Amino acid sequence: MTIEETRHLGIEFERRVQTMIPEKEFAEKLDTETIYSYLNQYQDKYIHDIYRNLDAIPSGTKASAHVEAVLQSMLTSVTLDVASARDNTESAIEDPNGLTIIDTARSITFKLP
Amino acid sequence: MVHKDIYTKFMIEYDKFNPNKEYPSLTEYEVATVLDKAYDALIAQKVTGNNFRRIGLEDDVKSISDIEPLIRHADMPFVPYDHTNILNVAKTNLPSDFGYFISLYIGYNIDQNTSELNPYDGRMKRIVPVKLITHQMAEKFFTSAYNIPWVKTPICYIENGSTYIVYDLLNPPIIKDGTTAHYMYVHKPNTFVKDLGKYDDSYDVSYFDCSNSAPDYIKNDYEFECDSTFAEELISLAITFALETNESPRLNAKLNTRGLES
Repeated sequence: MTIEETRHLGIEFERRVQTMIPEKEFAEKLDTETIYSYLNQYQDKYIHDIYRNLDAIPSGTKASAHVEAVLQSMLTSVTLDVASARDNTESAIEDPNGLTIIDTARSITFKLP
Repeated sequence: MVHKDIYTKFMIEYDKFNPNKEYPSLTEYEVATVLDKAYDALIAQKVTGNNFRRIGLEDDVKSISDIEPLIRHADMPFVPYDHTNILNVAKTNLPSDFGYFISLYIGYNIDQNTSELNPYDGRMKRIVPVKLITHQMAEKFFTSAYNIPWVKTPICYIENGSTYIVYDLLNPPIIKDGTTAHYMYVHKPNTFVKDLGKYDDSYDVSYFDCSNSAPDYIKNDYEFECDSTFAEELISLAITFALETNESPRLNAKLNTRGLES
């Protein structure tokens, strides 16, 4: 998504909020940081929800095709060099995107940008 | 209608209300002062709706007729804005005879990088209304460390003879040299109290009348701009003010204590 598209996403969100709550147009206008905070929050929720429900959707249906199309753009693969971590007995390794994988594989944490 | 007519009507009614006073109990200057006070009060009441009918400007046909002779348009140029750390604010001065804000428009180009006409309707420039809001609300529209707001309708606030217009930083209006903001406003009407010294000595002038030989720029100052209905309301209110001044019990109390001074 380009910066321009991201801006239009924020505008569309704000436009709908203003339609529902007219006070948000002037007196209680949302600032940009708040708008994108809401969008980020819902984006996370949306992805998690469809991922969790993926198994419940019958394969081959339009619903499953839609969910898979959404998730497809989110899938990524990366090759990690675990040799040095193993040699140095480190407890975690980090991928190029800042994703830290703990050796137990039970905990995944995101670093703040 | 001219100011002389207002004065005549005022004195006719005032003398009937006030038979016990010596004639004239008010000088021309005092009458002019009272009429100005009533004029300002009446315009404010009619614009804001703080009147007997609870009807504001343009809320019905009566209020439109009362105020429409005072409505003016003016194109005011943009002037440099000192606080350049706020990126999305432009400044214009208010018209010199500005009274009450009605509306403000600014121009946008369809494509600011070209002077080509819009292919759909042949126009290059669009106008967009600007909404007047409070300073506190305007803060939410400033570009800041955490805010690059979407400003669909530019907003403005007024202070110290200037209008500050806050616009969308990523879709700015035309605020180059030579461009203007278009105001519609209720202007300050001709006052009854005039600076007679500013007129040429060769013309006979008073607060309510001038000689027939006076040029138009002097005669224009003696025009009463509103209609006769407004004039009657003005005279009634001015008489109330004048009688309050002359007949107030406070004045009687002051007179009764005069004997104590001797």
